[in-house]
Formats: sequence, structure tokens, C-alpha cells
Amino acid sequence: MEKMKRRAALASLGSLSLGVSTPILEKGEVFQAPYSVKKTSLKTDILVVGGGTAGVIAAIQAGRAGRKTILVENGSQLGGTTTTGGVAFPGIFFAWGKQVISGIGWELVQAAVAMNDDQLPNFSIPHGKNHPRHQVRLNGQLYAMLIEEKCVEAGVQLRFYETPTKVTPQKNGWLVQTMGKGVIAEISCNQLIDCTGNAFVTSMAGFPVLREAETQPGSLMFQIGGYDFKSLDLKLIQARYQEAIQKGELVKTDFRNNIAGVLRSAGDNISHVMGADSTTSETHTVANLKGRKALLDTLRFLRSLPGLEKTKLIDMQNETAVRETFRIDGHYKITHADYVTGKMFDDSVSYSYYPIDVHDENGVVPDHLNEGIVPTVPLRALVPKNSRNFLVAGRCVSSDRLANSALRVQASCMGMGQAAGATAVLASLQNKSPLEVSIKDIKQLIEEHGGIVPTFV
Amino acid sequence: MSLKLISVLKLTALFLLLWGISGFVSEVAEPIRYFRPYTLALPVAKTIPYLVDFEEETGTDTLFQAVSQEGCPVSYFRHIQNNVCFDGKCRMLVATLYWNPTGRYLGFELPKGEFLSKTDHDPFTPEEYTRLSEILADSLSPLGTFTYNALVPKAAVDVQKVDAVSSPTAPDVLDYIIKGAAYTTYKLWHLVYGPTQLEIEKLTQKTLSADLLLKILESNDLGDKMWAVRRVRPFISAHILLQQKVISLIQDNQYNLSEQIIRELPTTDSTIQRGLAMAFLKNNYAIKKLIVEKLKMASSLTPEMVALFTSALPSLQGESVASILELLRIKKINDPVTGRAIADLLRSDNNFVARKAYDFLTKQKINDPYIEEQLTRFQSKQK
Ligand SMILES: Cc1cc2nc3c(=O)[nH]c(=O)nc-3n(C[C@H](O)[C@H](O)[C@H](O)COP(=O)(O)OP(=O)(O)OC[C@H]3O[C@@H](n4cnc5c(N)ncnc54)[C@H](O)[C@@H]3O)c2cc1C
Repeated sequence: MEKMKRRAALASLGSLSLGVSTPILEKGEVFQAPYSVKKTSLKTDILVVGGGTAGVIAAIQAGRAGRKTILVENGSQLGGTTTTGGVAFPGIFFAWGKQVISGIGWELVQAAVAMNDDQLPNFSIPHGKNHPRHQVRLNGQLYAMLIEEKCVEAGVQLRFYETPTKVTPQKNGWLVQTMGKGVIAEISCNQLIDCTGNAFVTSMAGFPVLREAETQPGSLMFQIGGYDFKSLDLKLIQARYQEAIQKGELVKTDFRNNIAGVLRSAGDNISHVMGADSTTSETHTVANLKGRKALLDTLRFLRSLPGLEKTKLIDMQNETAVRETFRIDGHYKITHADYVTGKMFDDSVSYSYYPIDVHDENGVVPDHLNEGIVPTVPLRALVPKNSRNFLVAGRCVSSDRLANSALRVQASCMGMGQAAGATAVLASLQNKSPLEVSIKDIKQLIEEHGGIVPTFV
Repeated sequence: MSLKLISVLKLTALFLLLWGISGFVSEVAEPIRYFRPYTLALPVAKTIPYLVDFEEETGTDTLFQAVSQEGCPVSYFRHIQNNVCFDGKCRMLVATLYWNPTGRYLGFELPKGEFLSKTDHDPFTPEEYTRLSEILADSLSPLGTFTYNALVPKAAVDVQKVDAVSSPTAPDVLDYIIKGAAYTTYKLWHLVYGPTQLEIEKLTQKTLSADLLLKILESNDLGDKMWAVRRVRPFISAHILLQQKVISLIQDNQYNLSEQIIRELPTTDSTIQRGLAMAFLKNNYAIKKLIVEKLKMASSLTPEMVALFTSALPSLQGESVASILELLRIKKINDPVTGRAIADLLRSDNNFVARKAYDFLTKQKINDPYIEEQLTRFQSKQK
């Protein structure tokens, strides 16, 4: 008896020390077996990768035209640069007093403005130097929620936290493998739209992409407060700023060598993260670290100056917004000359409107379009060379650098998103590749969904 | 030349460049006048003076109202005698400034024989007068944000160059002033857009009637139209002509104006509802959307409106269909005729449209055999 007791006690000790005993569960708790990555297979008509400025519009267009649509986004919310990047001032929808970009993008922007009791700009004021007044100021987070609601309403299946890992051509479309938290999905689609802003899917699918040796800087958007700008001794601040740069405590290019600008703008679109690239987790991590370090160092510096002791960080975006990475090598490359002359193509499917706007480390001096000029985007610029059943929309449109600096703005991206979505719808309905679809049909579908299509005058 | 002397000369040149002033007697017989288009092109019958306290700007001064035979305020004007000071030195600026009844800048006139001058007594050229009038007509001029002291060009150099958001990139004061007359331009611009505008709006407001609004809406200036539209609400229900005029201004190519009109219109009136429905049919998506959103706020929809929107459904797509169905649902439209028309959408090639029709019909629960049959067919097709 005594022996048996000892044996049992030893056994239980042994199992405890080996950690194999079943834990004692409290009421309501269940034991979860170790997680193994779930594999899932999905089939859809249209797959959009990248739920940013352009991708959301492409997906809603596809959903509203009745096609089965999946939208894969590697972030936690929709809107991309407009929302997560904090560039919540889409421009430009009106050119020379007339609306040139409307449809789904405009509808969503208008809904966000209305729900926040914001005021739309006066679109009749002349462009040129007044072009910033034509941008619509949005509540970015509200916009993120509204576009998500619209996607759901349009029947778009949303998949957050996922990114493609493999893109393989298959008969009648593409097989895209995505990976997210604990999930691997094999998505078979008829039409694939790359709206990652980085031509990421295009490259993964094996089509060449281009980039500049030196790209435009990105920006970390934030808001600071706690000081009275008018009462600051800017001369002294500027002198101390230059000293800090000389001593290597601050980096000249982080804020355009312009500390007065930081204080005046209170953080709005003033940071510069040189070489910022959002293409991969690694490059985007570098851009985020750089942007946040620059801000933290600068905040500490500001708080050491007279009149700025109480400077506070009021808000900051979760990631560095990126201006420029890769562009596709499309069937047509929109050139600077095309842009500034407002060239009309037989296959122009959307308008664009913005000054040529290339940023360097000092900022930007926009080069305004001549009166009456409204550039257009031909469908061929949204289709990588040698591709089938494949489209892009957004800043990775096929274009030279100068044209791209204007094409990349948000209203233009939205216009391209709707055009790409509509083209994919028809291609999938008619079992064709995008460039085989009749332009007349594409234009008709875009117009039926409220978009404005370029017309010869 | 010594450095000191050069900088003194430079300073003097800069001072003179920025210094524009009136008050020099000229040989010109007719007074110098530069005018922009009138809001109301009516002959003036009388002028009424109003004593107004313009507080810090000029203290108490007379604001004149020029009135037509019918009693419409045609214009307002003030005789300006103002010191323009720089570096402790002041000169007198003498001019008459004119405004339209909406507060919009109208023009300026100089006393007979006087002219504006730049630098050292250099008179304005005709081109410079025209340019001055253009600058004064620009309500959005950056002059509104510059401080008096920032007029010195070097102050503009360190202005931030942010992309596309805040103030214009690297604003250059010289673009917004008459060269050699910066302070004169600045002073006049601030007088035009100072407290006088508000006083004018208040005075016009006192004489406001549907007829006056109708006249202002005839103006070619968009700002005038906007001004009138913002004030139509108390008059519009009782005035058919005003209703027609206002609704006719809802147009694709005037988004802001159309939006303002749609916002101001009351939806209680059946003729206004009809007007909005007509505007829905003939205008683009952006405006269609505004109209449907507006009608959602109406307490009820007239049967005519319901019929009109229902008949438009087959020719519409996507969000336009969705928003009309949402409107009909909010207004609790559940008669079988409307229901049957919507049931036909269940057969649409566009699954989005069919689903929206399905959602509507299942929520409205209309008791009708045709609708039920269509619903059953749709459900079995979805399986
Ligand atoms: C600082 C700054 C200031 C700007 N100023 C203005 C301005 O004033 N006005 C204006 O109109 N435009 C402005 N722009 C330009 C404009 O905002 C962008 O060019 C535009 O938003 C790009 O849209 P997009 O759809 O191509 O990309 P994004 O909006 O960036 O969308 C790309 C989306 O794809 C997702 N994604 C990326 N890679 C993957 C992946 N591998 N898998 C899944 N999802 C992925 C991203 O998370 C993101 O949601 C500015 C841009 C920046 C950065």
C-alpha cells in the first residue's frame, strides 16, 4: 500500500516535471490544439491586390457590375496612402471649372465630406497657383470606414493582412497564392488587377517593372501642437536648427532643411523620408523606422527651444507614406509631352489633372498645366506588355517620371481604378483579355457607374 | 562705392519700389475709373448714406448705397482717405471703392484729376490700373494672409515649400501686387475685403425679396449666384418663378452651385420635389447622388415621384439603383405596382442589382403573387 502510494506520487511528479499533464481548465475555458496554417482555395472572377486609393475603386466597380470580386490588402484597413498614409486630401477632380473625375471615387469622397460636415472646395476658382485649394480635405479614418462599408455592400470579399507569395498563369486567368496570419489562400481568378502602388504583383507575375535610380522621398504625416507660432523667434530657432544639423544631431533632409516649415505646417506633409520604399516588409520597415526616428529626434530638439518647451505630438500616422517606387512597362508609356499637351488617345479611359509635381529633398515647385489642358490615361498604360488577363491601376501606371509625378495623385488613381475595374468586368464577362475588350463598351460601363470618360471635342 | 552707400541706395530703391501712392494732381480731365461687371445692371435713382463704425479699420465712416427706381441696391461705395505708412512715413491714399450688393468688389474711382503713383511719383499705366482692379477682384489673393510687414520681398524667401497642401508653394509677393505700389495694393485689397463687405451684406439682406434674388441670379458671376442661393430658403416656397429659376441652375457644369441649391431647397413642396426629380434625370452621377440623398430627408415622397424614380430604374446601374431603392425603402414604399417593377430587377444580368432588388423586396414584404413568384425564382437561381 505504502509502496503503491509512493509510486503514484512519483508518477505524478514525473509527469508534472515533463509538462505533459492536462492543465486544469477553469469553467468556460477550452484547450486549443497547436495552430497549423490553414489552407484555403477560392475562386473568383476578379482579384484586386492592394486596397488603397485605386484598388478600392476597382474592386467596388467590379462588385457593382455584378462580378465576383476579392480584394487582398496587406494592411488592416482600406484606403492606402489616403488613409493609412494620412494623405487625406485627394485631388484633383475638377479642371478648369468642369468635373473631370467622378464616379465611385467622387461618390466616396463626397460621402466622407458630407458625414464629417466638411466643406467641399470651391471648384470654380482658377487653377494654377490655387491648385492646393482644389484638394478635398477628408477625415481619413472616416473615409476608411465608409469605403469598407461600400466594398461590403458591393459584395467584395475583403481579405486583410494578406500578401501574394506566388502568381502563376493558368488557363483562363491566374492562380495567386496569398499568405496572411495563419492562412494560405490559393485564389484562382479570371482577371487580376495590381493596385499595390508598387507594381508588386506585376513583378511577381514575371512582367518587367521600372524605377528611377533616385525616387522621390516619402513622408511621415503627423500633427504637433502646444506652441504659438506667431510668437516664436524663428531666427533663433533656425540658427539652433542649423547648429544641430552641423553637429549631426539632426539630419538636414528629414524636414527639408526648414524648421520654420515644420512649425508652420504643424507636421502636415513636411517630413521627407529619403528613399522610402513600401514594396516589401523589409523596405517599408526601414522607411517607418527612419520617419519615426526623425520625428522623435526633432520633437526632442523642439522641446529644448524657447517658446517650444511644451511642443506635443498630437497625432501620427502608422506608417510612412511613399510617393514613388515601381512602375509597369505597359503597352503604352504616357510621356511628359502627352501629359502637358492633354493628348487624347483612341483608348483614353480616364482623365487626370495635376501640375507636374516632382519632389526632391528641398520640396517641390509644381509646374502648372496650361489653361484648358486635361490629360488622359489610355487603357494600354494600365496593361503590362505581354500580359493577358492582367491590369494595374494607381501610381504604378506606365508613364515616364514627369508624367507619373502628376498621374499618381489620388483623383487620377481613382479614375484609373474605375477604368481598370470596368475593363476587368467586361473582359471576364466576354472571356477576353483587357486589350481585346471594345473601348466603347468600357466607356459605356464606366459611364453607367457614374464615371466620366474622355471624349474628343 | 562703399558697401554702406550701396546698401543705403538699395534700401531706398526697395522703399520706393514698395511705395505706391495717390494724390498727385494730373492734367487728366475725366476721373480714372476701373470697374468689373455689375451684379445688377440697373440705373441708379438715389443714394442713401449710412454711418457705420468700421472700428479699427477706419473708425466711423459713411457707406453709400446706390438704389434703383424699384428700390434694389445696385452698388455701395466708400470714399477712402487712408494713410499708407511704411518705415514711419505716411502718405494719403484717396479713392472711392465700389462693391456690388452681394459684397463682391465692383471697382474703384479716383477723384477728378488724381492718379495713383508708384515709386517716386511714377504714375500707374493703364495696364497697371487694370491689373490693380484684377488683384482687387481676387478674393482668394494671398494678400489676405500676408502681414503688412511681410510685403518686403525678402520675407517671402523662407516661406515653406510644402507640396500641394497649404499655402501656394514659395509665394512671391511681387505676383500679387503692383510693382512699386505694394503697400497701396495691400491697403486697397484689405479695405475691399474688410468689414465693409459684411455691412453691405447686412444692408442688402434688409431689402431682400424674391424679386431681388431673381435679379441677382441673373448675374453672370458665380459668386453672386452662390450668394443668392444661400438666401433663397425663406422665399422659395411661395414663389414659383424663383423655384423654376433656382432649379434650372442645377447643372452638371456647376457642381458647387448645384450642391448649394440642392442643400437649400425645401423638400416639403411637391413642385420642388418634381423639379428635383427632373434635375435627377438630366444631370450627371455626382448630382444625381446629391438629389437622392436630399430626398431621403423629405418627410414623404409624392406618388408622382415614386413612379418617376421607379420608371428610371431599368436604365440605371450600380449605385444609382442601390440609392433609389434605399430611398424608396426609407420612405416605406410598399405598393404592389412599385414592388412589381422592382421585382423585374431580380432578372437583371447584374447580380449586384438583382441582390439589391432582393434586399428591398424581402425587407418591404409586399403581399403580391407576382413578386413572390419572382422572389422564389431568384432564390432557387442563387442556390
Ligand atoms: C506624402 C505624400 C503626399 C502626397 N500628396 C498628394 C496630394 O496632395 N494630393 C493627391 O491627390 N495625391 C497626393 N499624393 C499622391 C497619392 O496620395 C498617391 O500617389 C496615391 O494615393 C497612390 O494610390 P495607389 O492606389 O496607387 O496606392 P496606395 O494608395 O498606396 O495603395 C496601395 C495599397 O496596396 C497595399 N499593398 C501594397 N503592397 C501590397 C501587397 N504586397 N499585398 C497586399 N497589399 C499591398 C497597400 O497597403 C495599400 O493599401 C501624395 C503622396 C504622398 C506619399
